[in-house]
Amino acid sequence: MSYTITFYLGIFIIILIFLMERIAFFKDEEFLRAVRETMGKDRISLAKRREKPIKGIIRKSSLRKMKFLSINFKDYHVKDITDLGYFKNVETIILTYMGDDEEDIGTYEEENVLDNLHFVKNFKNLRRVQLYHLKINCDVKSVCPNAKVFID
Amino acid sequence: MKLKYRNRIYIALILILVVCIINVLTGMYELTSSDYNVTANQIIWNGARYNRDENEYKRIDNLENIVEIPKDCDVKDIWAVASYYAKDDVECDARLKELEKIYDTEGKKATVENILSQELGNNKKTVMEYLIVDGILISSLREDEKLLNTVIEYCFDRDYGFFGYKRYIDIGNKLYRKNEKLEEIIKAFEILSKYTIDRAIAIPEPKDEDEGAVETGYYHGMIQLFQTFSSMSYFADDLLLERSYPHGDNRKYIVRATIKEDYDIVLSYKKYKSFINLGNISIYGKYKNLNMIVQYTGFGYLDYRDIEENIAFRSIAIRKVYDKLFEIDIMSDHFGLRSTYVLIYDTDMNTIEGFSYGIYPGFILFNETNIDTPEAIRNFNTNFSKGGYFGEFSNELEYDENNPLTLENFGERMDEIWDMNKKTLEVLGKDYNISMEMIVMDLSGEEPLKRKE
Repeated sequence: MSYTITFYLGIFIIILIFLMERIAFFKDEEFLRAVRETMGKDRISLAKRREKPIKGIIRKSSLRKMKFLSINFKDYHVKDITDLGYFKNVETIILTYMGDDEEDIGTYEEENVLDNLHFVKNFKNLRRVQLYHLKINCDVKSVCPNAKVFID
Repeated sequence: MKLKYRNRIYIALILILVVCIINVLTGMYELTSSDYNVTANQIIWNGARYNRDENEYKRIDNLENIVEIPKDCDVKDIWAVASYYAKDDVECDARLKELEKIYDTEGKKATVENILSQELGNNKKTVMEYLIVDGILISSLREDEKLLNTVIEYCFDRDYGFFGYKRYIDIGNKLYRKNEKLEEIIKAFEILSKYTIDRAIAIPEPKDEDEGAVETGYYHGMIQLFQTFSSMSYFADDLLLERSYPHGDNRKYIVRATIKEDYDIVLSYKKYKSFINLGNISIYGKYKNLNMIVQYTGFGYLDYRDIEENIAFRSIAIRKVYDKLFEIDIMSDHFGLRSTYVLIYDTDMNTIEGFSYGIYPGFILFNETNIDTPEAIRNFNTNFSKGGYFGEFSNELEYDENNPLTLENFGERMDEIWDMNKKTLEVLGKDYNISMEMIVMDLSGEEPLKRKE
């Protein structure tokens, strides 16, 4: 390759890497599906489904705008919540496992789903955490010191 | 997007980035080494090669065991020269007769190929054979370039590397290096130069102007071809790759020779340099597409157009080339020299990759009407010795009577003499009304210069 071509190619690649830093890559596929199908302007809500799911690239900046996050693990079989780390400005997190009507369907079978909850440790705006019908292995209160924690 | 895609894309991008960085860094290395490239690290004077060693030029060839031929033997007729080698030697005689037959029946190309396709020997017969190759080359120089290309093809061998394995990982083993036949051709040119110059010294003048023109044509052809082959050996000895010429005849060449309208010889080739090695295996290297221009031999006036047309004036280093050519111009003018220069440049980047020159003495036999070199040297020595025109200032101008300028040492001392000329003009120019050409004029009839108070 000639000197000039490689030089400009190198610059182009550095810009590409820079741009890629702004894209959100999800470790858990189901979490991604949840975000695509329920993300609103500033809420991800299990109660409100979008007309059409978001296609294409999701930017990290749009995830940072979320103030409210709720996911029903009955609809989205999430195995790992590491991707929660993208929602740096969220104020309320609700993670639950519930059926379509009032019947009790037991505890969520994925035992280690909350293992990576420590990602929320440095969330400045986090005020409420609600975990329903999930296996709790760690001390949630210590992970989120400033928030009110409800466990059921 | 899924996380695994990000990781794969990152790895690919970073790999390409690393290759780019290495490429750019090695490219910068090439660009900054240009100062070395504008110094003539090998020159030719009077049929011998000199290599630069610190600030001096040292002769690298010594002709041994050459057959003496009579001074009146016409060197232009190579068969006459060869016959002196065949005298008293049965093997040489048989070979000479064989080659003469091939020449008469099949022509120049067949003769040359017959010699070059055989294994290289190490005796008088080999010397005779290669003298014949060179002689035929000189006589056909103005005809076409096919013979030149044929000879060049035999000068390079495939480099199979260590144990014949793929030594150069990125391009396989399609590399060529110069071989011993090229050195034999160069040696033969040196012998021919010696014969030519010995004859020119012995013969006082040409019979008529036409003969002088023929002699000059031969002399200039010999100078230009010798310069071509020795520069090829010095600069293009590294690894070369084959290159095809889509705008030419679509054949593949290792080194392609073309002769321009103004009689310059241009060699085109592709040079490979390895940058990252693991023992004997080269992992990464760069190629350059290079052209080598060997100027048509001139009576001192050197054509600068090739530099202006082909070199990008990016670095100040090009001044060095201009200064050197100016020096050769003036010195050729004063001392009656014949000169040619070689310029190697990268055809993609238009940077100088090498420079060299060849200077030869001029003789009356070659229509030197001004002054011939031996006479100029004599006048120079007389003028600066005690009792000469500039004798009184010889200490100041650093001329040593015990170390006079001679035809043998002129090439090594040319830069020194040039500095002396400039100094003479500087010290004596204004007050004594001196011009530069006076240093070689016959001033023995004049009163020596007296120092003004």
